Amino acid sequence: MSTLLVASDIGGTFTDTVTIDADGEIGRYKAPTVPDDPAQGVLATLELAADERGQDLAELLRSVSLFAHGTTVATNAMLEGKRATVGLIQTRGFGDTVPIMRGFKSLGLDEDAIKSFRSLVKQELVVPKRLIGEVTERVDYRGRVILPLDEQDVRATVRRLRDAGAETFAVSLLWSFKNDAHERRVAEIVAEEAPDALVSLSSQLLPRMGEYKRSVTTALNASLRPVVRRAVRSLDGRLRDGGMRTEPLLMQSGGGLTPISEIDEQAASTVMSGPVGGVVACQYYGDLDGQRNIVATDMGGTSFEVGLILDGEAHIANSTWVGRHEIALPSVSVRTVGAGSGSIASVSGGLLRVGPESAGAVPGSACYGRGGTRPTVADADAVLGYLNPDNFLGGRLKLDVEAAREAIRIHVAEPLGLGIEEAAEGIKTIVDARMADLIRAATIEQGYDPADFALYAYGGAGPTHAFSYGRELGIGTIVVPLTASVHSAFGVAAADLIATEELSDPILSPPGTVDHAAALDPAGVQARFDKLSAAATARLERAGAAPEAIRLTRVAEMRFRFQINELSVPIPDGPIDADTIRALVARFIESYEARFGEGSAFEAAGIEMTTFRVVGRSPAARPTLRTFDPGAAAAAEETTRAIFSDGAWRDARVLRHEALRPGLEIDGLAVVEMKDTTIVVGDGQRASVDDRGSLVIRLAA
Amino acid sequence: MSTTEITAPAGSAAGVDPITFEVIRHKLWSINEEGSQTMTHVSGSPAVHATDYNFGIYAADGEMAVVGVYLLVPIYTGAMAIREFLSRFDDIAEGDVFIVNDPYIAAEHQNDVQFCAPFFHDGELIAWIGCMAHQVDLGGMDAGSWCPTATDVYQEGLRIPPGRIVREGKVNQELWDVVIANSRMPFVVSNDFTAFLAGLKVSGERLTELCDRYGGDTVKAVMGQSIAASERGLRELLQELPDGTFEHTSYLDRPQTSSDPGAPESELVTVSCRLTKSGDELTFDYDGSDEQSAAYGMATRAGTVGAVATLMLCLFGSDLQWNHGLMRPVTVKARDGLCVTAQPPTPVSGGAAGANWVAMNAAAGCIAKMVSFSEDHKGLAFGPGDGSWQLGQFGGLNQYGEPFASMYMDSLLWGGPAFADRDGVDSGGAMVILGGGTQDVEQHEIGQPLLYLWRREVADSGGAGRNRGGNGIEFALVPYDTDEVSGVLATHGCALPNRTGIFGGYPGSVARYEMVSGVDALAELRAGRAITRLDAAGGDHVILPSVTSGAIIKAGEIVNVRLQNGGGYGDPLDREPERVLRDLLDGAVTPETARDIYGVVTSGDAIDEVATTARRAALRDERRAAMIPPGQAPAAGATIQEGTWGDALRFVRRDGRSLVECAHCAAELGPVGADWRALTGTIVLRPEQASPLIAVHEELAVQQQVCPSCAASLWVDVVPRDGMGWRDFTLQSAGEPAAS
Repeated sequence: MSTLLVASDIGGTFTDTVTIDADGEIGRYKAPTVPDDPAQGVLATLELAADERGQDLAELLRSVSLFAHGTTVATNAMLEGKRATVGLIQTRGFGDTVPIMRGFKSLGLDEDAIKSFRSLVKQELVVPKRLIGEVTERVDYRGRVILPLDEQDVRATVRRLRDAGAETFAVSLLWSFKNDAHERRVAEIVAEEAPDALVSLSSQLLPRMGEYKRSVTTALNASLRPVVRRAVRSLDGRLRDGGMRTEPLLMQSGGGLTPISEIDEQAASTVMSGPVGGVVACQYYGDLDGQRNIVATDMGGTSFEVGLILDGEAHIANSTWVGRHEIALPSVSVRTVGAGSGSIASVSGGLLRVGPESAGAVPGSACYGRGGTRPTVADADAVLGYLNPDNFLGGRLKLDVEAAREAIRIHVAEPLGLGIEEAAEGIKTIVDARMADLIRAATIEQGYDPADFALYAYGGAGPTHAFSYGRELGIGTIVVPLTASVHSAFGVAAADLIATEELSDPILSPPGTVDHAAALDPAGVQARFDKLSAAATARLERAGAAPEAIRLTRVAEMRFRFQINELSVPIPDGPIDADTIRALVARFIESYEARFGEGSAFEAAGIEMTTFRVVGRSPAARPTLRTFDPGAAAAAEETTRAIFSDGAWRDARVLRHEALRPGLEIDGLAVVEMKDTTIVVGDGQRASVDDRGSLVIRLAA
Repeated sequence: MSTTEITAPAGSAAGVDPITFEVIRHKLWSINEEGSQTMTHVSGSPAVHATDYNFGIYAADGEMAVVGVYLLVPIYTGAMAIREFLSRFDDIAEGDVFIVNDPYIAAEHQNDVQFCAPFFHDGELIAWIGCMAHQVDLGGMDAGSWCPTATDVYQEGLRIPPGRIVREGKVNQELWDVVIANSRMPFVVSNDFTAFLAGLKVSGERLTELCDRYGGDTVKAVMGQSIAASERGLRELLQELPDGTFEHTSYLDRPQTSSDPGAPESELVTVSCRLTKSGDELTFDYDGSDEQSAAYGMATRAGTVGAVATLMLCLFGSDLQWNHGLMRPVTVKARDGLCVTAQPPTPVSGGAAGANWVAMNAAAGCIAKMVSFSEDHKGLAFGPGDGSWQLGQFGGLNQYGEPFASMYMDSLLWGGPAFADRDGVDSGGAMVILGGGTQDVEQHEIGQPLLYLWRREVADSGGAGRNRGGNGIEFALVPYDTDEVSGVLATHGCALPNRTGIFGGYPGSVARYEMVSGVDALAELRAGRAITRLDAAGGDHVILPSVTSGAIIKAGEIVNVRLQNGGGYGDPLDREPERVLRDLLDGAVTPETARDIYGVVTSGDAIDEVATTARRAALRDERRAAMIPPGQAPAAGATIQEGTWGDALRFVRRDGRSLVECAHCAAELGPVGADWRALTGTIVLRPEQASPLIAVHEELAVQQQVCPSCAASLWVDVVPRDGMGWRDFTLQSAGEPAAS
């Protein structure tokens, strides 16, 4: 009987795998990723899992009932310039849509970079100008054809792009989401002229108003398709050869799983496949913990990432960024700042800065003893005593504290006239404040106060710093899950099958409208949603979902006319009539004021429903976890260690992970040394171990 | 963190330790961003969404402490406004919010309404928070309050003198209502005011939290130290540059105001800038500019100083923090009543991007000439950055039968200037708005009854050079689903390129509005006939004057707007042929320009190297043939340090004399002390020799300086036909007046 649930997060450096047995037992495994052959890392972790069970690999693979994974293949292809060569076809007169970028030269840059006029330039184009072709045609804002498609022109353009090297095609014509006939016809002609090439249509991938993002996203998608297709087919083949019988599922940026056979047309929707797993895992734990609003924080070596769970749901944005490129497909919103354990501290003009420059894996922080000489956040943590030089990463890496002290002395302490410990604490204070500022910005942007959230911390350094950035924000509950070190993989295991269908087909009410139901035609709204619901249901059924398990939610994106800010407003189940519309408008106004402030609603301008979306979900194989029970393993001895905090050396309690028991309480200042991270409980804080093995840190009463 | 025992390190003033300093500095940034974001969320104005706004935190005395990255000029007028409030009112209290839009006092033009709130902590004035956004309408003779044909200020939008819109927390409803009552779009203005107050409130609350935690004095000290650090950085940089004066002159062209039948169609207003650099101080002197006049393009002192401040931030703020420290070493000298310091009742609503922009261009030219004497700093130099704002404001009834008024921010998509180490940015090189852009075509078409025929980059529109100026866009609109629309079109830079290149680079294209009537473009399309080029559209073509108010455009007629674009850097004949080829393949330059201006010959997709070498030699020969040779230069005995000046000149000492050499071929040009131009060959270029897309006013000429030996292009400028009255530079060294 196949009963093993396997979830892998294939990262750039490591592949993490979580297994969940029929009885809810969790296994955690890690192996290096082989970039050119992602299957290798997955198989290596499964070897470990098989060893642990006394099985051979084939036996284990045969018992897999569900295999899901997150992958960085699309992201890496973008960052390393390994996308396929794409030819982009646009409406005549608008072939410069992508190069013009609506005139923005600041996309994807932070404020410091924007302020540097001397070096402020646009990012590299996703399609070079010579691979963009124009075709004669024009559709208007209502979807009416003004100028018919010139098919001879299309043929000539396709041939030119093909001969110029296009391996794959993207078609993005003006107003195609209102009338897709021209795009579909172009696709047919491409199939005739370049039969081997894949074609991505903007009207299928992203039927939304706004030709710039639609074009860029479609072009990126087209260029990622061959890459993602190759990678998932190879993984599937290797696992099946090994004996696995189930079709792999893949994590999408939107936080849902989909079978690899369904991902092909939406390759660009996998760019956040890795990072979103962590947020989904927090959502899962939040459900169990009764936490509806969660800040999910991942502090790694080079960056700090923040996602939000709002009222029990992962916050989804309409787009995501890879470097300076925006992909306008729904994505679990993750904000990033260049602050991690490898961020370098430097002094310039008497001012101390931390990051965004990072020491990376090579040479790494000074304390890693791999040749790094510039001080990092990890060096500060080592100097301050938070990290145990002899038991870092479970003893796998011995830290050179002297090297860390020396780096801080030379580069920070002496230039600022500070003691080494004061300088180290300064570095920590600055990076913690920076992370707290980012969390604050992320929550405020959604109209929330960070103090109303629980904070979950994971990633290599998150559990070490969370006590501090959480305190800075006045957050009452900080949770470090037991699966913190393989958190994204766990999230992949916990995710649902999701199919999202959307349509941008604006309807609006005129200025001064009193009864919006008269203008925002209920029957029309109903018809739009029916079409989308049918499509989402069909996709989930193709993915193997049982019809009765499918849950559909309907959302309208709305805004006041003449405004840019849109809000997603849910529509309850049931038929849509005039009262539904009136209630919807009332809810929109209420949410708008809640988010943007009292008095911000601008009803007099009229209201516009811009985009209609149906999200269908069905559980893939929701794990049931066993109560955390460390068994009878002897608790390691407890020690104390000096930690420099608030300007003085103080004694801190030090526990090994083996000591954790449900119900255990730990008063700060204390350190818990896990296999893959170090958890710090701050002064005035009290931590307790819950039934799932999570450490929950609260302000001591 | 202890703040008491740590002594102030070098580089940071007494008081706040470097760690607390960095934490608070970043928090001030976040607070500013939070206020700004709140404001944009609440605002219902398309101008705000097109980033025509800004938000800043100011020190207690009004100096800029933290500034946002959107429209930059108003950030400095905010500082002027606060100083005005401080000097006018002795009862400034907690909970007050001040308002002003009077351009003669502290705004670029009437549309730019500024709200400023004093921030108190424990009863002490710690800081000010200021915000501004372009208001879509505040009355006046033209919808949109941008009144380019006004002859006095009373025909323009409402002027609001400095006063309180909120007094101790209570809104001054009477004043509010007066302002709203004067707007054609009262809802939008009222909503923007609400947005201002929301932004000020949120950032004020956050500042209170910050002061509660760290103390008001500490927060104040951090702002002071930030400003001092930037000032110190700039002064150190200035000390590394030679003392002297640097000059650049440009012109604002506008429809002729003289009734003299022999007068040219357009007239020129001269804006000249003379920059004196002495030690670590800069003085921009505009006293040589034309007097004010009762017509288009007049700027107030606020607009002009704000433009200079914008330039200072963008030039020197790449490595230094953006704040008032970058303006402390700066003096702007200009007597009252000039075109750049217009006095009441001179009309000024159209001057927001008029004479002050030309003043900004002239100042950019001066600074480029100054920093290019330093190997370390010449990378900062660029030619005039932003040439002209091409107003395209349309109104009438939209496709839903509702009144509409819309300013097309597409006009912002000009090409940026070239630098020593890179090309200018194509279609989006603006300096005045670094973080902004325009809307999608679809976003416009769904709201306004105007169909785009194209929005595209224009080949050859950036100036040629070793590094090319950025190309800009053109966009063509046809009224659609409406009978007609009216347009207010106003700019300058149609009769000359304001955006000349530097060090031999050529000027970018001039601005142009073109209208096609007598053809129904919509009928053509419906008949299956694509319109892909303006000159193939048939009908009657009119190049519109630079200022047109109330133009009626009927359904099916075409208006095309083509922008003024960036100048080049260095001699185009020095551009690597591979880069010219790439531009050619990308459609960024035409084959004609590749051949005739860059001297690059291609065959298929490859460079014909032999033909290119020959072509470049021939073009140099043409320059020599056209050149008026240098005159006999007076021998002056000045000495200056050895070094270079951009791509053009090298200064050497030989036999105890200071000599000028061509930086390209090392030929000796003559002694230091003469006007350097007199040592070079002079060519008067036909406009098409400099760019296929420029026009040159009959009183002006495109003048090129070339090396008499190697014929390298050293400088290309637009100068008066009857001789230029300025000198690019006059250096001062070791106490003796010297080279120029």
